[in-house]
Amino acid sequence: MTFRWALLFGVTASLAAAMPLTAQSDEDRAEKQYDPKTWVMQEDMGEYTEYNIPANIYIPGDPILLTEKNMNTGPRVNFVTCPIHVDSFPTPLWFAEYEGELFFLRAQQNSSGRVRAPQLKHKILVEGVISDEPRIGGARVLNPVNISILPELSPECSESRPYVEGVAVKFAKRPPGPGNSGADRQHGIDRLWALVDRLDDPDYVPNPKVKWEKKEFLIEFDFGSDMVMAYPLVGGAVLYAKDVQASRFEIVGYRGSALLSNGEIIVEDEYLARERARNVENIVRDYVLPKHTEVIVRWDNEPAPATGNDFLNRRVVITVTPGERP
Amino acid sequence: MAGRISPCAMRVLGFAATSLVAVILLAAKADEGDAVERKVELPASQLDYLPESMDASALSTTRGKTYGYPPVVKRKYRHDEIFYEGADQIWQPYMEFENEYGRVGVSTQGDPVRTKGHPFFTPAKDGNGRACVTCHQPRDGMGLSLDTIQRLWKESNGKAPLFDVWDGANCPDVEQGKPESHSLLLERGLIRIARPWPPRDFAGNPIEPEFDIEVVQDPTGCNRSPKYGLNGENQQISVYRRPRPVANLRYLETPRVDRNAKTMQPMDRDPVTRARSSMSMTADARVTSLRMQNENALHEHMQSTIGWTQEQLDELLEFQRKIHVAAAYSNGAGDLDEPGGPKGLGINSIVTGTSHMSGTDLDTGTFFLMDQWRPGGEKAGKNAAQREFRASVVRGYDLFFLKPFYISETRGITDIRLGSPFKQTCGFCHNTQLTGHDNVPGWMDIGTQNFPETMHADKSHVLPMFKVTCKASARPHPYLGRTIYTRDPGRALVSGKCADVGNVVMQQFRGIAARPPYYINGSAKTLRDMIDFYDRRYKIGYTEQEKTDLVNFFSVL
Repeated sequence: MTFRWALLFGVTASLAAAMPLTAQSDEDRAEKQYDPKTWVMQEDMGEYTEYNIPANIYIPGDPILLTEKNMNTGPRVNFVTCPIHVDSFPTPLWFAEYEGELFFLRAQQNSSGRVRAPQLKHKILVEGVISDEPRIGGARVLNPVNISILPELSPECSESRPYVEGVAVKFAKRPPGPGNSGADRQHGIDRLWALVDRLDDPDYVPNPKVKWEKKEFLIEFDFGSDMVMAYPLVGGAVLYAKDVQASRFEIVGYRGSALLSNGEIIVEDEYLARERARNVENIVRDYVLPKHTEVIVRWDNEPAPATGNDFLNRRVVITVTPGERP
Repeated sequence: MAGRISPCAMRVLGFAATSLVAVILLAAKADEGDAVERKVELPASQLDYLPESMDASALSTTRGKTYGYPPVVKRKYRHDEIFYEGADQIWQPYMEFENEYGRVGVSTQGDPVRTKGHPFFTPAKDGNGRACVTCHQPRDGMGLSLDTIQRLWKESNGKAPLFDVWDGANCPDVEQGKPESHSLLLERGLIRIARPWPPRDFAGNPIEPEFDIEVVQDPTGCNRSPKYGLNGENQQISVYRRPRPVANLRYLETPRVDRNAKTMQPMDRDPVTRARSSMSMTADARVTSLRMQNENALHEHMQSTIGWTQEQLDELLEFQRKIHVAAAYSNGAGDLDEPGGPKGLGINSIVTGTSHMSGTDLDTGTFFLMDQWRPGGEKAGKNAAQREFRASVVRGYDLFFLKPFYISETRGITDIRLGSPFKQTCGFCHNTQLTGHDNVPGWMDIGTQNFPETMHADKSHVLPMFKVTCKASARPHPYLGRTIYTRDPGRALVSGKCADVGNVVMQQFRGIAARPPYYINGSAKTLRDMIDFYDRRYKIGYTEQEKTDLVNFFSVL
């Protein structure tokens, strides 16, 4: 029994050591992740595991997502091409060639990798900033970057290169093989359920500290995709609606175009605006909104004009209108 | 004030404050004894690290987790009994049954059960003579092995309820009792599953499919049958699948998280209880609860038009939820519950274990760690033969858990965000501790059904072949595009989605040696065949020794 108590103490103490990390809200963490001013480049994981790494730690090979905030931090490039897979150690790498230049995209991580991993047999749309950080495998690094996998098959995209000494990143958040910390992983699951319990609760007591105002939540999508990778953000919108006893919860789906660096424009399929809105609606309806909240779902089939910053247009916008204060 | 404190100071303060609380808690609880200590609300993640399992009073459920029953007392080896529908037999709370590799243990604990009158063993009054036990035999680890099927065939001359022509034959319009009428059941252990086309939602409303489907090959004649075929009176598609084991359900029944990581959509909810489903109960996740699974089986497989009474249903669910199955004895490794042996093996590992734990990290392990059996370990073996076998099992586990290979073009894993190819181990997908299934949920298309990958699994032409043509407005299958040839569209027969063609829900591993053949279509006759398929499909390049080690590893689960 002494052992059990010692174990409890040990785990409690280690959780305490991580307190400044977990004390941040998810929103704060997300903000830090996308704000280039807060990045700290680190070439190894140090004391962190893949599950408790702070959002502002940037490890080469795990690039930051392109956002409105960071899209002008360097020269931009948008192109469609086949990805190139390279076997490497400690983890495989992805590259792409454009106009004779080799670009490094990302390393294999696990599902926590921020940028989508390419797939052979598919072309990818790359939208990124050419970073001035050290080259990897001789290639210029794109960071921040978005990668979208184009849905139709492209069998010609099949280039897989063998391992070559020196073409590698120094460290991976999660190289091939088991992870390091089951306890951290489980902690993440427990935190998720704690949030879901609040989202599911019909008798939820609103947080009095939340400011009552009309608020927008931007749910971004990969080009050609209706998968809601920003699932937690939808949960965040529902929680906000519960906190402000929302009178109206509006979901609007959009589709976009993409202006490439060579002047070409590609346009998303028409059904995507509708499917994006419906997929977000499914998530919203899986939780419990206040009884009086009116949920409105619509979509705009007209693709937004291509501007070069088109990742902003592949989206669903959730607008939460607060109810009347009691 | 707080704004003036540096992050470093905050960390120190946080540590000090929480440590102080822990010390106060320790002091307050120190003299309250064991009974009080069990009530301490430990984070669930720590429960697996406790030195001993919780006792029966601690059996509880928190967000889907269950924390284990008391260990079973292993009794003397039983016999090779088949349980028959409507017979008067005794189901012991713990039983062991022999198979090629050793013995599988089946535990329900509590009192013995007299099968006569029990709904699990009793045919429905208006049905075809089958009961649940027809396809869920304890000697087969609560699945159905080819050995049992063939024994029943011989004993009954093809007249046993299992061979009811409705789904125990290749098509209902054949003559019962002729071997050729039941070839898929007799040779592959396959039961016919008839799915409506177009698919229906839970309320029975048609779903507009994203694809057109046509029958290209129809060796059973059922998919072109005027009555049972795709364009027949009933507008059905017949596919042929292996029964899944009714065992260790507390590990499978509820979801690990609230969302389906394969679709980034919510888990389906049960239409009656509104509870979130694990979507792991059937090969195509068409049922959302154990209750629904029992109701579907009653109507679809037992051909009853009368539903279960609430009393029967309660008794069924209680009984099924108590069933735990795992290999209990290995011909090569000996008693798998040997005190001091590997924590993840033996019947008591699954009986006492905590459900819904991830086993994909070095400090957890799908089946914990097996260091005790390594050469030089505390339980390395009692003699040379046992030592070699145990060492082989550990090598097999190391291959499973540690050896990465390239996983490519696998719907449900490489397409969700990981990349194709993606270098990982078996344990990455088979990640639930103690069972080895994937509960996020485990929909995947590893290539057992769709062409061209299925050629690695099934070069025969005994199963139907469908041509699926995706509509222009639909998202295509990520690796097969808009024209797909498949022997079983799997999840797509439920969802109507093009990208789901060939997706099936993976199975758990416990008791696997007791229930060959393997894969949804029974195409792997043995454990070795199962490993050979992976080796070919993913070009892993296992050596002969490695394949033997993997077979030995699976044989003790």
